[in-house]
Amino acid sequence: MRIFLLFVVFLYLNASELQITKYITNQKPKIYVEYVHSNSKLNHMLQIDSTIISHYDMKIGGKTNNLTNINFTKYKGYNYLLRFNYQNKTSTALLYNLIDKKIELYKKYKIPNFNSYPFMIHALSYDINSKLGFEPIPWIKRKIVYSVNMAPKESAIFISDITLTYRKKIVSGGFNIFPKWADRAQTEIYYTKYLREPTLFKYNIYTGKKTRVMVSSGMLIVSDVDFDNNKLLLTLAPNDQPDIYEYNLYSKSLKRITKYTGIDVNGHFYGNNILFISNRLGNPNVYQKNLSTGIVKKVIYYSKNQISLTAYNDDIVISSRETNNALGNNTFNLLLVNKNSDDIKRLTLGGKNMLPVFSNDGSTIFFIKEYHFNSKIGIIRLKENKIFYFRLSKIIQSFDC
Amino acid sequence: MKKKLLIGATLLAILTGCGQQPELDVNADQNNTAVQQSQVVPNQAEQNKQATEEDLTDTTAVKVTDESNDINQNQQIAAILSKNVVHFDFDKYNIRPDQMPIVKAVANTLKDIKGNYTVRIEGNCDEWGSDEYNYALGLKRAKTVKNALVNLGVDANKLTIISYGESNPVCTAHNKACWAKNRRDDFTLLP
Repeated sequence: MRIFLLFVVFLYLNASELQITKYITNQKPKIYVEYVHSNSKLNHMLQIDSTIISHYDMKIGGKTNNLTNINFTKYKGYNYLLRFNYQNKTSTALLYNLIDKKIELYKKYKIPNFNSYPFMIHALSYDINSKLGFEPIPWIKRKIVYSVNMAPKESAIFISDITLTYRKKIVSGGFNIFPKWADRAQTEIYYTKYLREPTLFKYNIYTGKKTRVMVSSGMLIVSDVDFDNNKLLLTLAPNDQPDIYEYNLYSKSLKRITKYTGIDVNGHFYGNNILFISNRLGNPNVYQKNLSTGIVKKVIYYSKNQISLTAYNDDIVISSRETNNALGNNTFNLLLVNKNSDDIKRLTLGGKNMLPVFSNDGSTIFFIKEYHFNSKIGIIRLKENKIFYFRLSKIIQSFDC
Repeated sequence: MKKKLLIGATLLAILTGCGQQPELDVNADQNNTAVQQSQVVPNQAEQNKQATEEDLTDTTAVKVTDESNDINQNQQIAAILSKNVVHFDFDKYNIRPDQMPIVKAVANTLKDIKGNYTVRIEGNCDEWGSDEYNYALGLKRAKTVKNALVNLGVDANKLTIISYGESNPVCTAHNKACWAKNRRDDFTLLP
C-alpha cells in the first residue's frame, strides 16, 4: 500500500518580525463530508487537499445512501455539506450550502482509470475552494515532472500529482535529467538525455512523440521557459565554458547572455532582466543582467552561497548554503526576498532545502528537501504560513511543476 | 505351372530393367574419373587461377592482424586511464598540487597513443550543491584538467569534456570520505 506522510510545519520567521496567524478556528468555513462509495483513498485525498489548501476545515463523516436526501438538522455547526460518489470512473459531487440551503456545486469528474483519482480529487478541491469564494488555487491541479536517480549515470523521468500519490514513469533507459514543462498546459516537457553528447529533447506526455531540439558538448540544461513558450534560457557549454544562452524556438537562433569565464547557471526570465547564479565574486550568488543595458549586478547581499533561485513578480526565493563544511553536513535553507524591501524571510529551518519553484500564481513554492537516501517534495503556502512535505523513497535529481 | 510361369516372367522383367541401369552408372564413373584426373594434372590456365587466389588470402590475413592489435592497445589504454582519477577540494575546480602527478601520468599515456583516439574527461561532484550548479562545477573541473593536459602536450582536438554533476557517485555513503572520492575527474577512451 502506498503510504505517504504529510507533515505540517509552521514557517520560522525572522526574529524581528512578528506575525499573527490569520485564521481563528471559528472563522474558517466548515464542511461535512458524506460519501456513497466505499473507497477510503478518495476520502483520505480529500482530507489532505483541505489541509494543504488551509482555507476551510473538513470533517470526513460517514457513508450515506444517496446524494440528495438531506436532513439539514443533522449538520449543526457546519456551513457546507459535501456529498460525493465514485462509480464507473466518474465521481459525482454535490456541495450544499447549509446556511442558505442551496446547491453551490453539482459536478461530475471523469477519469480514464482509478489510478488517476488524485487528479480527480484535486479538481474537486479546486472547485470547492472557488465556490467558497477564496482566491483560485490552480497549482493544486498541476502535474509535477521529476527525474529520479536510478543508478550512477542512469535516471528516469516521472510525472505525478502534487502529493506524489499518482506516479507514472514516462522516460526511462539511459541518463535522462532536468525535465522542464514546455508549455503552460503541461502537455510537453524538455529534458536532457546523455547520448554521445548531452542532447535536448522535447517530449509529448500524451502521444509519446519525441523531438530532438539541440546538442551541446559539456552540459545542456533548460533552466526556464518564458511565459509565451517562445524562448528558453539554457545553460550550455559549446566551448567547454558554462554560460547562459537564450534560444528562440521559432527562429532557432541562439544568443549568448553571459560571458564570464567562471560558472553562470540557472537563468530565469525576470521582466527585462535575466536572473542567474554566478560565482564571479568567488562564491555562487544571485545576479541580474539587464537585457537593454547589459549591466550585471548582484541582487542579494545576504549569505555567501546562493545556489538556486526562483522568481515571481517582485519576489525571489533562493536556496542558500549556510554552512561551509567539507567534512560534515551542510545546511541549505530557502529565503524569500522582495526587490522592494530589505526584509528577508526564512522559509525553512535546517536540512538540505533546494530547487525552489514558484507556482504559476505565485502563492505557493514547491521545493526539494533531501535527507539520507530520500527526497521530499515540499509545498510552502506563503499566505497561510505552512509547509507540507510528501516523501519519495528515491533521490529526486530535478523537478518542475 | 502358372506359378512357375509368373515367377519366370517377373525375373525376366527384373533382369531386363537392370540391364539398362549399368550403362548410366558407367557414364557417371567416367565423368568422375575425368575430374579427378584434371585436378592431379592441371593445365596452364588453371595454374594461373590458383596463384591469384593465394594473393587474396594473404591480404585478408594482414587486415585481421592489424585490427586485433588496435583492440588490444585500446583496451590497455582504457584500463590505464580508468585507474587515473584526479580529485578536487570541496567547491573548487583548481588542480591540487598532490594531483598533478596523476595529470602528468595521463598526459604521458595519451601522448604514447599512436593513431586516432578521443578521450572524454568526466567531471563529477559530491552531493552538496544544487544540481545545476554542480553540473557546471563538474564541467569546470573537467575543463581545468583538459587545459592542463593540453599544456603538457596533449592534442586538444583529441579531448572532450562532460559533466555528470552529482549523478555519478563512486561512493554513496554520507560521510566525508565518500564526498572526497566523488569530487573527481574520470577519463574514458571513446570507441
